Amino acid sequence: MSIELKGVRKRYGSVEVVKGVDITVEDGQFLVLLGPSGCGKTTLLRMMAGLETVTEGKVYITDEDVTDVLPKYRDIAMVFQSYALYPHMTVAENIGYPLLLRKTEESAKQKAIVEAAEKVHLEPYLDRYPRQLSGGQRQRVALARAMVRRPRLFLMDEPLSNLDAKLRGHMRAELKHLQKKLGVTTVYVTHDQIEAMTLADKVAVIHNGVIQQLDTPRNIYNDPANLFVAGFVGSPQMNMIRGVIQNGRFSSVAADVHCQTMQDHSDAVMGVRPEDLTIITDTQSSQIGTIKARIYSLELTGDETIVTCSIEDKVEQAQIVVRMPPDYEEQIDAPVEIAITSERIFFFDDEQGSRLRDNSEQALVNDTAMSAMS
Amino acid sequence: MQRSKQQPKSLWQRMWEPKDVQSIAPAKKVLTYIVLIAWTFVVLFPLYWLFITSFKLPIHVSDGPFYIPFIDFQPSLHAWEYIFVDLGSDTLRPYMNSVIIAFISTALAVFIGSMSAYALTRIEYKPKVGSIMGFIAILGLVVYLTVSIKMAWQLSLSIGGALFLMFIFAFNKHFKRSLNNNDILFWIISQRIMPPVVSVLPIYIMFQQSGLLDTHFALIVTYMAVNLPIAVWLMRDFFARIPVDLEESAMLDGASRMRVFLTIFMPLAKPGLAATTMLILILSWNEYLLALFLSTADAQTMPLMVAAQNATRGPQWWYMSVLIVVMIIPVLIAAAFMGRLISKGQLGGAVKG
Ligand SMILES: Nc1ncnc2c1ncn2[C@@H]1O[C@H](COP(=O)(O)OP(=O)(O)O)[C@@H](O)[C@H]1O
Ligand SMILES: [Mg+2]
Repeated sequence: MSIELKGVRKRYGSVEVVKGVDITVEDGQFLVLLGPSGCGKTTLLRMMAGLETVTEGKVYITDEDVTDVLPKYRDIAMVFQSYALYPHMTVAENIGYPLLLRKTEESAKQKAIVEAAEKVHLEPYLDRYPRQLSGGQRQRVALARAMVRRPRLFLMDEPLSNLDAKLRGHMRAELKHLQKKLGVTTVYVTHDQIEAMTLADKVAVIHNGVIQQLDTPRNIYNDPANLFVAGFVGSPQMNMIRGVIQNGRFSSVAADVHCQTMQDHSDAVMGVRPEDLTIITDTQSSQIGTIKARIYSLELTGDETIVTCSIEDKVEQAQIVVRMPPDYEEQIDAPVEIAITSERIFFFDDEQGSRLRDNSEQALVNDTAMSAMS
Repeated sequence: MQRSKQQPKSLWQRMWEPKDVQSIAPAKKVLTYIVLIAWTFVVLFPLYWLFITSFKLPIHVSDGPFYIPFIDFQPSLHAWEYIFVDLGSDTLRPYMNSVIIAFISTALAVFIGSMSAYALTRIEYKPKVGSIMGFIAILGLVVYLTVSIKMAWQLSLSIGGALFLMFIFAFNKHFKRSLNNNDILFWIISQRIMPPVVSVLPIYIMFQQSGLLDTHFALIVTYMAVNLPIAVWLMRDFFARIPVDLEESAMLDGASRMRVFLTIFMPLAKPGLAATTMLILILSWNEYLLALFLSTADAQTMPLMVAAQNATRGPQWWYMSVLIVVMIIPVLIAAAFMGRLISKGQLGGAVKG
């Protein structure tokens, strides 16, 4: 079943929290809504579920206009951000509630309950009440209750947020496997970009109620549409340096980088990911560009060292982060030279945050825009 | 480091310090129990006094105080005999009146009150200030037409209704300022800020004009109206604490409104409903002032009958005691029943945090 939002807006009084959103989720697709807290993800999901009226725009499920259809007719299973467990029912009764409503035969129901509980590792807790469970266990009950039946659509609102790191990784794999096996179209909300990248077929990055970019995880990472997406996706974050583009060079207080094909721009921001940087010795040089910096701190994570350096920026001290091999060592405050090792450099307009593309890319973008229109 | 070394404590210190974080120090425990026992006595002694007074002869009361039956005085059943044998049906009637009026008016107040409390916590209302003003103005016009112009009330009411409908259709969407649920709730509670005695005369005249004085109906309707604000106010708080998410989740799982209400909402609302029912039942059961105005003989309630024992021959404590003892019984039964529901409160674990 596909779901489609067309020009959807939501206002609470005079405050607009969703500002014209268009999304299409194909049958069997896994879409992740990614964005910081308060950007309108939950509101969007609730409008898909029919729990929130749509101020403007339309919602379609498999080409059927469901904008004004009550939730119970939409055949959707939802995991609430707040879990929403029934406190007067045991875990088994909670999980079995959707089946109870469908008058499923008792033995089939019990079997389904146990199966769903197994998927989230809750078999020992079936007779407990929600108040006797930890936050992570409650969240898993909520997941099991959604997975116990096969709806037209799964909606999940940060369903893994309360699990510890190990269990979260495990549940992520479980969810992805299950979703592919059942082939149920899924919309999944999270503010965790790693979850988004690992789970999604398509990611919609949302900021202030507007979709910033809707694309595959790979494209979101490798070709961010604007400054917000570039900064939000990736960990450690993309490095941003302010400067000027002139005569095919980007220059700032600390950096000097080649960018032959870019047009001149006086308020530019250069973005480059930590893995595309390396710290070089005096004898080495870079084809693309270099940045002068001082070591600020070193963090060894095991398989790499995250090096934070401070640089002079146009207005203030800024920091940039470099990923180095685990054996890298240097004194704090030592002056170093950082080289850019990849062509994957992004330029943005400092004020608008919009992406500055070079001439060839510009032509490409225009082309696709044209073909999309026709 | 010095501190953590266990120094032997004196007996005095041990008296005032708990042995672990989950217990109370022995001396404080003793003090607490002394206060509790004293308070228990304060609460229970009047009940005891009432009970033994119902077995006293007038002489035991006037020459008293006598405290312990069979030792201080010889108990007698004369008052019980008078109330149940001599008066007989004259006791039974007010008793049945009280039961009927209190229980039915409580049931109605809780039923209607819970519906409005549910609506106030689940639906967002935005009545327009302009429309309310219009309503009041048209109401004023209807009263004027009926009272001053002597128009038939059916006609003036129809005119008012038609005017109001036209007014709403023409202007409602143009008014900007609107009230919200809290304003509605405050309006409802404000009905109870003034004591009922303020409105007792208009109510009296209303029932007198409609020939309904001294009927069950008059008392039931009045008690219900007087207690509704309390019911709405209490239950709104209870209901607001039940997360809406639970109902939304059940709806998505495919449950109908009724099903959600019965299988999700009601089990969780039970403690609140029981507490409210109990409070309102007690208020109705003991109500005196309105009953004094609205009933004379047929619909007389127990509080009136108790008071009547103080009428011509001075206070007849022994008869009053008997009446009060039997008055306590239904409330005790109801309290025992409701208490079980109240203790079943269990919202824990429903939602995050
Ligand atoms: N019922 C409501 N009334 C008014 N504002 C609301 C309501 N629900 C959500 N909002 C506002 O809408 C914005 C988006 O909320 P939400 O969708 O919950 O964000 P997210 O799930 O992305 O954290 C927030 O700023 C929030 O304050
Ligand atoms: Mg949210």
